[in-house]
Amino acid sequence: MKSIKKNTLIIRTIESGTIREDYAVAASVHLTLVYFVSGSGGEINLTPRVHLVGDGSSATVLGLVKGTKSASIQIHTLQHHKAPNTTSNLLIKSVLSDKSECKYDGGIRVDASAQKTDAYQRNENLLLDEHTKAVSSPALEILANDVRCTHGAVVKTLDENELWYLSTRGIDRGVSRSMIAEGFLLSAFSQIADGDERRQVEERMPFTV
Amino acid sequence: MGQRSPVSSKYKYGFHKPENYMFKSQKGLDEAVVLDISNQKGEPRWMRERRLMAYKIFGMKHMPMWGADLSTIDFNDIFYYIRPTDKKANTWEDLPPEIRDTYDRIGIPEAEKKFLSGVSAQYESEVVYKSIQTALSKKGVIFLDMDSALREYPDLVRQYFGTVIPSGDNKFAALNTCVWSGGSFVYVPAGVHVDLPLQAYFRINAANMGQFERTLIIAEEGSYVHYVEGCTAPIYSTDSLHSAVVEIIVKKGARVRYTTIQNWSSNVYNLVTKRAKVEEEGTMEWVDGNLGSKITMKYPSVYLMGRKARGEVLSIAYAGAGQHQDAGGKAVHYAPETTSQIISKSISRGGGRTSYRGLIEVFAGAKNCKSKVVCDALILDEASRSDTYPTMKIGEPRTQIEHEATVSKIGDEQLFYLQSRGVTKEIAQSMIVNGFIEPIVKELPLEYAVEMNRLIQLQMEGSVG
Repeated sequence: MKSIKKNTLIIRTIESGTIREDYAVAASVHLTLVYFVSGSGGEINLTPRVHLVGDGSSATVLGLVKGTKSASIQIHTLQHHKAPNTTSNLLIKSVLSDKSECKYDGGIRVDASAQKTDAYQRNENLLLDEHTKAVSSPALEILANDVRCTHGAVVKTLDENELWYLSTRGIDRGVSRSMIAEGFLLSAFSQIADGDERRQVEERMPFTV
Repeated sequence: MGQRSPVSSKYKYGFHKPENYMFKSQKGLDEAVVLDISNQKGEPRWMRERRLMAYKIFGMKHMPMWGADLSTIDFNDIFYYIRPTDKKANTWEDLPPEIRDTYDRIGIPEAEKKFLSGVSAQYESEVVYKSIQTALSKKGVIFLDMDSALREYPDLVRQYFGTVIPSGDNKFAALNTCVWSGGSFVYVPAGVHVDLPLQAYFRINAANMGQFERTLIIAEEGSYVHYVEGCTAPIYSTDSLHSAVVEIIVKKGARVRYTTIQNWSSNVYNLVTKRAKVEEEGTMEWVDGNLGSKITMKYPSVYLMGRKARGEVLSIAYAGAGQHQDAGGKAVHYAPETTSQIISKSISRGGGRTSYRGLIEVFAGAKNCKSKVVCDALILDEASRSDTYPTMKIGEPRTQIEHEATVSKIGDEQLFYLQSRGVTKEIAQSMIVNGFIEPIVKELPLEYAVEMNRLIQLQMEGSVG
């Protein structure tokens, strides 16, 4: 368990292996946690867990996932609200091609003591090829009543209308495909409220789609 | 809980008539009990063998490792078969007085006068009262209790029984298959529209007695039927197990709607398997309301087998003190262009717990499927709990799958708005809750909608904390 005692931005790039990280966020502190995950064959198993232990603490967790070839990417997240007035915002986006798969399961847990919690969790998957696969199991466990917790999940493929729009602008299908996929991933950055942090994250994006 | 609350310990229908049975099997379950049930009913050999095989499967299957706490169920402390009277009655007057009295108290005759086309009321383990309007049989529609159907249409039953939910599906499906009794059998011939909902009232009245209805609905090509099931049960001193299996076959272009209002008394374990197989361009709609019981685990499912098949699940759950409603829905897309929608609304109060549990699965090759799941939960006080456990398994890229869930309390702004217009806090809360469940209530037949609104009103009384 790593204690976060002042506002912090952590950017992690993950290409293989099993990674498990626990962060405890102190009172009135904000943690921004960004994972760039790219798999191109083997297995990746990523488990970030954020514990909001201090009154008024908050966290933004982003995962940008790119799967190619036969990559198998598993992501397990936990947003654990232990203290009152805490906020968490989690977004995991994956773009999958070839035979890659992404399995996401995530939990929001709100303890009875964590009143006035605001928690959000979202998982979006864009499947580009025939043999890709996405499994999404978000979960909410809410033991307090004065809260707002929302989760959402989307699995979709490229929108033919969008492809058509770009092709009428003279852009070929292969390029349009990557443009749309990249836009899909990059839109996650809008979740980062702090302008400086956002610029840093944009600069350090390690891959293109 | 309010004093008049129907699912609290002061259960509204919690009277208990003296028992008067022709036959009651011994407590507990072994091969002899299974054979006994089958012999009492004079069943054909294949059904007896099916029961015995299911009994073996029941012994091998484990209890579910997920969901609600079922550790207090003692399978050896349950009566598996009770038969109240030997012959069936055809009119209200022919019914034994204490049974008629029971029904009068829950208002069935009035309900029948109004809207019902056929009433099949289950008292104890067997249907004892049935009236089918002649119009139904003229159209070739069969609406019988399962035991009669097995006697009168053995081939039809044999052709479909266990084809949607085999004995090995889960432990409780196996249990139901080995000890089933009662339930409804509905057969709608091709092209026939049954205009009025078919209704069955279920009722159990013996302490420690299990209810194992088996329902089978077959809608032939292009037909339509709406089946309505509503339950109320008296209160007992010991726990009672209800484990039904409902199988529905929706053929090409047919549409079936199945509406349940479950209001078992607060000591009943309600563990039900409900599933529909939908062929090409068919539509299946489950409207599932869970208000009563101690624990409910029920996830009505649609298996979309043919192109353009459609499935819908509307689920509403209310959990008060001591209750856990673990409900939801499943849609499995086997064929291209199939669509599904699951809408769940749940309310937990007074220490109750509601859980949404669901599955959307799309197999590779089922192109251009669409599925949307929306779960909304209200938590009304600090002691209550709400969970959401959806799963999406998507093996086909050309799909559009969405899931959204929200858990919240009643908004302070909403309450303030209503109170500033002179509405008391109590009425304002009840208005907001009624508005919250309205999308589902408006899908119910009128008398059920009235009952549902009244129940919610009662639940909300004295809820301002």
